[in-house]
Amino acid sequence: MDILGGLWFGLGVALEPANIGFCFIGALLGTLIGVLPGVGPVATIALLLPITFGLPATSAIIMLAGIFYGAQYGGSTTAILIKLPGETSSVVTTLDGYAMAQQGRGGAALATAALGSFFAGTVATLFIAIAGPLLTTIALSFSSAEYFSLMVLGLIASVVLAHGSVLKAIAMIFVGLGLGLVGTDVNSGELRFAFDIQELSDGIGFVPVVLGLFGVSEVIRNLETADWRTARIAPISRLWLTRDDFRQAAPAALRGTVLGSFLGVLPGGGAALASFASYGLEKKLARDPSRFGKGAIEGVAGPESANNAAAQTSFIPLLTLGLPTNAVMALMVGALIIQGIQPGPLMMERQPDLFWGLVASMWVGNIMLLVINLPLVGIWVRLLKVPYDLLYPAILVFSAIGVYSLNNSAFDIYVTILFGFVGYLLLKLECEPVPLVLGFVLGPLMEEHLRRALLLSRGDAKVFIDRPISLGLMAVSAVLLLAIVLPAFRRRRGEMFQE
Amino acid sequence: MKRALLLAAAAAALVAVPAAAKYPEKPIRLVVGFTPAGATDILARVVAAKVGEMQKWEIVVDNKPGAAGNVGADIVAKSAPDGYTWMLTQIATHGIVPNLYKKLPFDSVKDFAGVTQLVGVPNVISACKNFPANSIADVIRIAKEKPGSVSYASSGNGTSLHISGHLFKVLAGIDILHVPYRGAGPALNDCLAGNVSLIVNNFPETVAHVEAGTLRPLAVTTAQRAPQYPNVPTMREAGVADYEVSAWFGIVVPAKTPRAVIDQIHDAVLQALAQPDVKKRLLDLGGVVVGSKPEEFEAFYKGEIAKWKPIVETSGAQIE
Repeated sequence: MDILGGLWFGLGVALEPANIGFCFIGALLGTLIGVLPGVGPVATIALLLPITFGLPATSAIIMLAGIFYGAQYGGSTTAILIKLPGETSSVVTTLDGYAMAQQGRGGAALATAALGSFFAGTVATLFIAIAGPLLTTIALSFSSAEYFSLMVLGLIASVVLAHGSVLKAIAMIFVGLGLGLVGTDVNSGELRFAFDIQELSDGIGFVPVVLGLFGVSEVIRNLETADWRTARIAPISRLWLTRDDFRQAAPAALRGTVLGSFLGVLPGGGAALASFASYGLEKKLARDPSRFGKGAIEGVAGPESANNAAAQTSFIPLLTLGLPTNAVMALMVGALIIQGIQPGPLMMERQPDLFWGLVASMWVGNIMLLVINLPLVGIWVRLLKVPYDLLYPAILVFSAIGVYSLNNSAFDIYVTILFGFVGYLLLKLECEPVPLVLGFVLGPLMEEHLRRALLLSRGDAKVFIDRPISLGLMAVSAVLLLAIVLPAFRRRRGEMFQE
Repeated sequence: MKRALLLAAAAAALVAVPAAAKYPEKPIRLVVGFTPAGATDILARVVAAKVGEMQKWEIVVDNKPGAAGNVGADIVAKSAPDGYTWMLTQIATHGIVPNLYKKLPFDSVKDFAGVTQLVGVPNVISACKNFPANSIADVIRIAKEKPGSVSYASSGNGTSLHISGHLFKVLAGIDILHVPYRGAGPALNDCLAGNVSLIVNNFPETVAHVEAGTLRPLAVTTAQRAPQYPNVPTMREAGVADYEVSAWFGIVVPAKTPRAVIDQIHDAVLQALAQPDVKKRLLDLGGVVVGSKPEEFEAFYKGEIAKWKPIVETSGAQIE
């Protein structure tokens, strides 16, 4: 089936009344759970899995997929309004989105996130249809050596994320790397820093750390100020974007979409990596990088487009090869197996209604999400007017429920509380938690791939420069490192000469 | 068949009346030590749905993932022995893991009572892209000609897949390299890309790739061939004597659960297993229904724990 024929056929499947209904349920549920801190698509899909037993396979997958990309829309809402990232991939959105909300531009930030996500979703859908199989071969050519080089590039680029002291940013990256070491070592199976606590044997959970560092610490910080009962945010000026906003946001959304579409295909944290990478890129490209962290609209448009594009293209390896690239996709594999469909290379041929129906439904779902989310902007912004003595307990309660729902484990709630205090401490020390999060995410992956690459090459370190893609990534990293180090070096030399 | 069913039903009725006329009078919790949608979870949901439907019992699948299933096992070990907590266990939790960890917060044998073994599932050893082997004999020859050149991917340390590969290494006396991954997905990814020579995989994840020709199955690990692959030999047939790994699943309850209740659960589960739609489901997953008696199952997993002890010890996977 050619692409146009396929899409046409897919639209027919997606627009069947039942499938439209399931797509809507998925998109709506996704938005709602995205808004709730901590309750992520993984927990929700796991919960709904038994219900899909009785549904036709295509309807089931369309609904589950809707939950996943719908959550990317919803996740930005709380990140922007109350600095509580609902999803991993909306962590960076807190930086400028929250700043915008405090300046009374919360409506504009929410609208940017929704429009950017829609644009990215539409492009990514086409991308899947046109380049799906091709992208899979690219993803396959990424072996451990390439991943390691990509992570190195990511870590070096993350120094750019910091908007304060570079030294503190690097320190935070190392704290994150250290936290990432906790748990069972993949290669040797040995437990590290688990202190005989069984819950630590799989490592520290990502969501508890992030909710604690960002959400809980923000609540503590707001409570310490004397005027915490009175709203400290500027009055809401406008719900919509100005022409200037559009001019700044549109190119950022475009770049974010391209970046996200590619990174989403790669296994392991595609959506999160995409949003971090997009933020870094926007800051590097901006004429005045100092605006970032103080309400730069590109800092919302880029990452939000990137994470939605990545969420959608992360379906590519699943649909073309049956390979799950993240926890949600692993659940999808389970859902398919329950339906009696073996995910694999033949799925596109054997179940064309599933493949094309899902692809077309993503586009339908994105339209629905836009329709759901844009009118909601007005309502969400009013959330900011909720008195803090109601809002704070609500935030804490919902965070606790969300965190518990991840593994049905109370331990994760204690971790959240602990990291709430850690986050408060970091605020006081003026250390940015974002580089910490990046180190925490990339550290374990980097170690795993480094060691596996060396295992496969029988200990020959040349593997990182022998493979062309890896060599290219390493070269870019080296250039970037020089670009960061050289100006500082030159400045210092300049100072020396002046003396 | 029908008579057996009737007999089972009659037996269940007989047991149920005197012992615990009211069991169950509240929802039953079926603990799964792994994340949703994995093999253990899928099996749990199939069984829970059928038993619930047939007996009008309310059975809730409760995922308690973590520490290779130990988090869930610990919860079950410490639950009240009243028949309201079951666990869907498997070869890892009641076979390999007790040998893997030097220290566990529960006793894998003393804290549990067996109900029944549900199924046995073969693991599959396949050749990855570009690896020039069409049989297990080829693999042994290549590994002997160039020691250390052959590698196999598994979904992690101490899994039944790792143990399957390691048992091959030990029994065939060859030097092959274990490459552990975080789950089956990434392992398959590197195999399809040709970065490793072999992959040891669970049955359900292999089926589609064998059909598509992206994986070449060399052998199944069980003593019998898999009904789906009549042409794929067992490891024993392929020349590795005494080789057998069956990725089995079963139901256990906390020790000291009353015998009458265990019998009642056992009968209810066996009735569900006898249903044609359940059988077909399990067969799709590669499972051959076992349905053993409680004491048979206990003896079986005690035997498994003993069987894997020396293998785990030489695999280097032990955890201090």
